[in-house]
Amino acid sequence: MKLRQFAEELSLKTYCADEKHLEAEVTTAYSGDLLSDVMAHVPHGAAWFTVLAHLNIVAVAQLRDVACIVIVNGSEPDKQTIDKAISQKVALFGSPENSAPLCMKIGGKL
Amino acid sequence: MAELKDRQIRLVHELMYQIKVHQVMNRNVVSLPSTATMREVQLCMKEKKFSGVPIVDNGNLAGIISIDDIITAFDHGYIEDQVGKHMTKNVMTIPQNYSVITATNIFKKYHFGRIPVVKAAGTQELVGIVTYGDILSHLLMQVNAIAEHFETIETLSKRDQSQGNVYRFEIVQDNFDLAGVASTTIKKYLQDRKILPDIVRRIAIICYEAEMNVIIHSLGGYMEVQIQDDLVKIVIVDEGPGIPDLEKAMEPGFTTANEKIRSLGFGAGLGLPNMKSCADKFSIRSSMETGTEIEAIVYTVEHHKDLDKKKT
Ligand SMILES: Nc1ncnc2c1ncn2[C@@H]1O[C@H](COP(=O)(O)OP(=O)(O)OP(=O)(O)O)[C@@H](O)[C@H]1O
Ligand SMILES: [Mg+2]
Repeated sequence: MKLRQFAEELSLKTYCADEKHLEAEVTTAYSGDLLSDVMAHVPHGAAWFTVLAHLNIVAVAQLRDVACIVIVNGSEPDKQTIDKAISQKVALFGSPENSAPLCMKIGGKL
Repeated sequence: MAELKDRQIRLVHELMYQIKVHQVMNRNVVSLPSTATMREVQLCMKEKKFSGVPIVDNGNLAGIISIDDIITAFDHGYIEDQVGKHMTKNVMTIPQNYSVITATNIFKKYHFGRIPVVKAAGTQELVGIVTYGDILSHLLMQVNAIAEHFETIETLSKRDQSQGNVYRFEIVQDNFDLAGVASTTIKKYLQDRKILPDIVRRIAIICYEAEMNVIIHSLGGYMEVQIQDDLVKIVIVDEGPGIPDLEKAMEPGFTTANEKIRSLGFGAGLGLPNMKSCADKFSIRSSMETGTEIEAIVYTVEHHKDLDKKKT
């Protein structure tokens, strides 16, 4: 599924996403809040759901080529994090919901 | 150096094309309906210090009133008229997904103060308004971020001319703002050299976990990455305090990270074991006097690894 459709289906709030991001394929999803776990296991092209909202998630996403980060549970990234996502070209979204309902909604469709 | 400047200029140019109008526009548009009077528009301009006010009916842009229109209205005595009759109706708009370069060209050509932004090409649904200042300040912010990024790389990585392929990064204790910069820089170098993605991924994991450990657990140190023809060697050295029980530290799940560090998502106790499993060769030494030193090797050419396996 294209990231554009993914973001629409889950009504995600967009912090950073350009055309190139939105046209890219989301192949699977991964939920994780321990950076070294995500670093080791997140599949390439996955949408990464996390409660973390600080700067360091951008480096992990960039290093692992995820399709996007979705900050869940209504956590809000600060300006520094959004700026970093823009400069590192990492798609960044947010949702008030928890990873579990989000994954259930999108599950069979990916 | 010249190469760096060129890259910066190219980046700024790319940025102009990449930044979309919706990223820089102001979404809180002050507008009035076409049933408002010219005087109401004038008062609105005065209050908000605007020189133009869009006229919007049911969310759709119907026209625009500029300060000139107000002056003419005073002159000709129709300041109490409804704006519908006097507004400029064929307003130049820009769709929100257009790049700011298009907006910049319109500003240059027509000398408008602002351009109303519509939802999509061919619609009149007003979603924002953009000024030249908005574009400039966003661009400035981005250029700053890029300049900072390059500065860090410049000061952090000293390219060893004799070998042409050793990169050294200083790593500062507790500096979470720069965390990952060394690793992302290395990743870019490896990608430029067309190293297989799976191998780049493993090296990225090693560099990142090593970098974070030095930031979090040590007094600071450096990382040196050597890119050779058939392998990449990563050496991480810190100034202490050392690891008291190495065997324990290597166990998955062992951590001494405090609550604050854990709240940032670190401290699963998986960094060292992950580094080891991503490396083809891995060694760690630690002394409570001098600090910790890790050396990891990843082969970038498959058959070397096989040869190595046959030997052992
Ligand atoms: N450079 C270092 N200097 C001193 N102690 C270290 C260093 N690197 C690791 N350690 C010690 O080893 C432990 C395990 O490290 P490891 O990287 O496996 O996990 P972590 O850093 O605690 O958590 P994670 O890496 O999963 O975020 C650390 O908690 C710390 O006590
Ligand atoms: Mg660690």
